Amino acid sequence: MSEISRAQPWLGTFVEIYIKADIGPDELASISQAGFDKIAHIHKLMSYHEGDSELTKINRNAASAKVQISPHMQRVMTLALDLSKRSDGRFDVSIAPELIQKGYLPNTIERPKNPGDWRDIELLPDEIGFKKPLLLDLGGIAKGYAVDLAFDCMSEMVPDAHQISVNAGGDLRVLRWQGEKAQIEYRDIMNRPRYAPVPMLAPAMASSGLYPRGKDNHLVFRPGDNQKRPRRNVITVFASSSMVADALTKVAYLADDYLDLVREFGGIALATNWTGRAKVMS
Amino acid sequence: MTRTSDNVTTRRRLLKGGVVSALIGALIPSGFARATVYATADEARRLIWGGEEFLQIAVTLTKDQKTKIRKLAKTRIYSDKLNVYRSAQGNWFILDQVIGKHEFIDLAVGIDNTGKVTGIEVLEYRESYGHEIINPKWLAQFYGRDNSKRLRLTKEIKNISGATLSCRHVTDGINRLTNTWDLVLKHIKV
Repeated sequence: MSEISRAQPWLGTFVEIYIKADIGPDELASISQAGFDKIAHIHKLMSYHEGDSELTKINRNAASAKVQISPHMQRVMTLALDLSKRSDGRFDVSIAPELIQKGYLPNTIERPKNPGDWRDIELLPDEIGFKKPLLLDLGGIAKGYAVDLAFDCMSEMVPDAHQISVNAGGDLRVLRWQGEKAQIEYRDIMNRPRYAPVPMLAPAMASSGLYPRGKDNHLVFRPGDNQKRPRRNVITVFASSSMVADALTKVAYLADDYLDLVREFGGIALATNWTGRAKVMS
Repeated sequence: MTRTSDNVTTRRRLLKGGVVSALIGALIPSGFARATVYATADEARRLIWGGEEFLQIAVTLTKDQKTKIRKLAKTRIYSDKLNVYRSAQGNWFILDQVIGKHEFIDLAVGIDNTGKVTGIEVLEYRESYGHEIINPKWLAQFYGRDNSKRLRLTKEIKNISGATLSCRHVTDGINRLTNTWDLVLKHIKV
């Protein structure tokens, strides 16, 4: 039995791949490489920062003409729009103009003056178009999708592995998750990182709500709302896939009144306060 | 002296710990660190270049080269001595360190004979708050047992959620190395 643990920078964060299986080190290396190749592929399609990504092409052109999209983009946008509809726009991937204004995204594409929102996105089979100029940022949901894709690829290659896990900056997917413990990173009252242990409740978990160090800024925004979110906690969602878990953390973080939606997707939401107490949200 | 219940003792210890650490925090910058080791330099070389053989080349950047690289890559240069290896095919294997506001990252980078980055592996990731931990035992007395566990998180780190760590400094570091290849490494004759 041997194991491998690797980390590479992708999707604006560090992606960790861990495999433990009854195979040789060379095989472990090539299987983990196949996982990283999937992550790299999604990075190249969905990065806001890459000038020639599929996302950048959509952001530049979809308001003037329909843009052909990949099956990956189709899957991510389908979930994003479904969540926007069912959360009445609390979840909205057309948040990019606000993120540019607040300095979280570079101003590489000109920010539209009166940007549209999710209702102005037309998703057709293999095509996307915007009824009004708008900009998409797929941030977390793309990260979750990349984790799922890498995970599925590697678990197909070694279905009898003792363990496989993929972690992209907190979007975590684990093969043998029953009985595994996870750690939720939270900040104590002095803004130092601490870890609260919780049992894994599903194959995937994601967390939202930590703040950039030394700043009182927020990484999660409710569309059209400049109000500060309560500083109190980190929201963690367990779900069957990383893409769903990541997207649902935003819903649970921003809209307590939409917790039913988390349950409809089979998710479990936990809130961790600054003392490290994790509680199921209901 | 009567024994207090466990609960009360714990609470007192926490309270005391809190007050002491707050005081210490005000006087001496205390350290909080997390370290994860992923691969050794040799493992990373095999992951990036397979069985290709590499020889270490001694390269020291001149002041002029450093200035040029700094301007092109828009990033600081901490060391003028490079830890670089070259194969007979002219491919490079580079060991490097990037320093962020809170993190120290040891990296291995492959650059091929056309200047293309062929692989980046994180060897070790250390995150620290305040100063690096000099004496974990000394710190542990203030923060309780939990802290010493945190210092040895290598085994558990794969299950941490909530830490969206930015890799911006790595991106800057890679930019510095590709510029270093273009200005310096590419022109080295054996």
